[in-house]
Amino acid sequence: MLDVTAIQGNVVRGYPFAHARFLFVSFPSPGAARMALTALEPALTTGATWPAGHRPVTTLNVALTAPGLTALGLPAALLAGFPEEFRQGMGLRSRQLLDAEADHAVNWEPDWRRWPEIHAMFSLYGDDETDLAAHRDRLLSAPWATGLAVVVEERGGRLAGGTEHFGFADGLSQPTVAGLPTPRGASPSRPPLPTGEVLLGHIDGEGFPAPAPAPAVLGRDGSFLVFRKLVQDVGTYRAFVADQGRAFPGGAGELTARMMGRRVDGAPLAEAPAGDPEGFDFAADPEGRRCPVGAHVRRANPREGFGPERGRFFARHRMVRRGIPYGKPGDAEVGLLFQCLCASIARQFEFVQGQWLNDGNALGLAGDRDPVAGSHPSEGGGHMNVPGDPSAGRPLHVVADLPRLVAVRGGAYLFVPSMAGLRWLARGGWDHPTTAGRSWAPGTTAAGAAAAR
Amino acid sequence: MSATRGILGTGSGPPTATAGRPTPIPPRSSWAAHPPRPSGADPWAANRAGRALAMSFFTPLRHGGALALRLRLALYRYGLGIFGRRVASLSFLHSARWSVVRRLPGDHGRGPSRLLFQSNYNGPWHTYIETFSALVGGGIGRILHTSVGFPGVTPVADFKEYLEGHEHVLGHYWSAYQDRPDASATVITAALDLDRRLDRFARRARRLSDADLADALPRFLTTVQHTLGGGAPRRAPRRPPWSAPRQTTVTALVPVDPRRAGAISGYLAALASGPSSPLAAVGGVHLARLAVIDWAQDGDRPGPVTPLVPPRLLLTADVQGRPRQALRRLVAGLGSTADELWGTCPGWPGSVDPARCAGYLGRYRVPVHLAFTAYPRHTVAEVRAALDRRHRLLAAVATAGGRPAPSQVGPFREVLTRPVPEGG
Repeated sequence: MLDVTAIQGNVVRGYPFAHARFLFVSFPSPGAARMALTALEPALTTGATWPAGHRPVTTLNVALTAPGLTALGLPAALLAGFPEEFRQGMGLRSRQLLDAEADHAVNWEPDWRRWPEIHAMFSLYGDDETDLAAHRDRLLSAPWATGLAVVVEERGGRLAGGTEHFGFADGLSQPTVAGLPTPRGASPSRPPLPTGEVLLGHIDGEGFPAPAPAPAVLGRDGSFLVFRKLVQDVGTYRAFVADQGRAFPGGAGELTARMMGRRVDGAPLAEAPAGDPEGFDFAADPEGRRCPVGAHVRRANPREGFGPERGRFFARHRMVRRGIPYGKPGDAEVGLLFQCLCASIARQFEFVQGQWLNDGNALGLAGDRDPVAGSHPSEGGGHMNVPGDPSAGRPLHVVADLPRLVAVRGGAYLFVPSMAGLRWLARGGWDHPTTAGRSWAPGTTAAGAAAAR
Repeated sequence: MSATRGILGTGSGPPTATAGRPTPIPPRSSWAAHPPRPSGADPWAANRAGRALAMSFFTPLRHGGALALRLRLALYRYGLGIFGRRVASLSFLHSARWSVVRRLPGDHGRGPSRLLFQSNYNGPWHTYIETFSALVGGGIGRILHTSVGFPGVTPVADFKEYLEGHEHVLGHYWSAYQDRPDASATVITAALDLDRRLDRFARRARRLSDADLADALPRFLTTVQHTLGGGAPRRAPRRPPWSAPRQTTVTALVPVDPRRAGAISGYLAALASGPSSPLAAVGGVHLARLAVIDWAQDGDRPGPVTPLVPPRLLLTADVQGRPRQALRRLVAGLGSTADELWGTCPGWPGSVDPARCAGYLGRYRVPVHLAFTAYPRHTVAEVRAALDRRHRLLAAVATAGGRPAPSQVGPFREVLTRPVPEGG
């Protein structure tokens, strides 16, 4: 049984709060970094269940980048135990992500172009903006925060009606992870993810403990968090839909539904069992007549659209999402602060963003990019097939000239340590031989698991 | 591209604490750390040609492994075909070839027998191995089970490490479809399927008036929409996928003078890619690779690689026609490039006599014991024409919609009329 109090709260559950602040900071020295973690650790929100009526006013969690681990003083030999993509950082991964040039790090927002300086992310959630601002100010004015620099600060806020900025109901599909509380709206009929698909050191979808950095106290119960600031061009979206919707069989509403794979109220295009709206799979619709194969929802998770065997294989690319919109409707810039949690950034986030959203070949879609969330080149010209359905009298339709609707403004790959991992980092555990000697536990490496069997 | 696991190598066990000093972290016992690689941010760039990626690896075989492997490959070739159907269902594979090399040419009895595996696929590399391991893992495991040091296909991270420790970076990799971003194996097979259906429909459409054609098109388009990007899974072929009536693979491993190996590697690295490559002049070549193989990983655990003396120049080409003619065409097409590559090999006749050169290379041929080809019945020209036709059909639907008016059927008629294939 998982001890959720040993894991940071943002990994265990999606916080139900309306607002969020993300402070991407840089530490002036290893000593200051460790002092900061030491001071923060007791104040962090763990995965412990909140008693009814006793929700915290605000929550606080910490995640670290690879430069941040180095800034803490973690030896290079131990940092080498982290996956390569994490050590490089999102800024150096545009080739793997198949991002268009306009989304490469050199073209990010000015503050985000300083991404190599980011050491840590403090994430705060709360229902009240004032409380959140006060918590943030308290953090930054604490004695241990002397010399701390804020590289980037982002603010998120849920929209009325639970939609995102293009108007679609959001956050509907979340996998259940074995051992963690069931998220709201999760389908009872979809298979849960093995714990190790999100939490390092636990058995993953392959049946082996998910690879974790050494030593075990650092890696176990940790997770990787991907943060990606996506700006949404609502004006272009509305104009495009109005224009193309005229020629589209069924009109603009049908067009947007086919691009997304859901209607704006969240109802999936795919057939779902009664009473279980998220329980759909695409097994009965391999050609995409009900829900196009290139639709966003289907690209992000093709489920059993290619048969049950591939469906099991595809499940290794699922991840837990924690995003929150930013900006209010009408603001100059609005979008989504996309976040996800996974045990392997390369196998989960990078694969889905690169091979399924930014390319389509793996799904039989040639080089077509996701119509909504794909990284389209600035000149647009994207293309999407909407298969026809003779039984419904709908012909094949090709949506051409898809514009660039979403742009990447910045992003980071972060490690969310467990509470024990955080304490170990805060006290510089690599310098203490007895701790390091006791930190090996069978079952956290494949070899260890074999020995324990 | 390294399959970093972050966990210390297998079998290392818990470290023991030494009083007063931090516990040293044992070095990663990693296969991938040993082969020499080009320097730079992207050492594997030479293995990419457009959408196609090349994999080539040698694994040493256990005593008696060569015979067992030959039997296994023959079983897959002539047997029930389950392995073949599974391989054929991997839509990202252009071709895959397995060869048992008893001894390398010029080896004089030293060295183990080896398995040479070569494939042309669409990547990325990680996904390719994971998919192979998940969907064809049993068959692959049984093929590699005679290879020394093979850790099994799962956990896949260990399998990736093993492959990376045995895989070679090429000198030059060429694809006839390099200039086409849509030319993945998946799209090529879809385009060829579409081609056949268009021809069948064209026979009927020729007799239809514009109005009748406009009536018939919407229904027809929905029957071919899966080839235009509908994602339907590829149906496993009824016939075994190992025969390739119009495509052959030639693999030659020619010993080169060790003093010349560096210069040949440099020459390969400097060759232009794509339409300007010397291989473009040959004609009828789908995919081809050239590499100087100067090391082999022959250990049963991660460790230094064995230098191969003399180094071998590997040539593998998927070509139209029979092997002897293919070699002759290759030499004739490469011209002086062939002399640059093999000119210092003892006994090289000189590219002025392509027939004798073909005979020379034929003596160094490595037989391919099991070969899968995704599009075994089509020439390069036919593949390119099919890709063009698919592209034009998509453009026609994008402009006129899936239910065109009689006045809009012109572009569709053009697509239905079979184009004259470009020469070569």
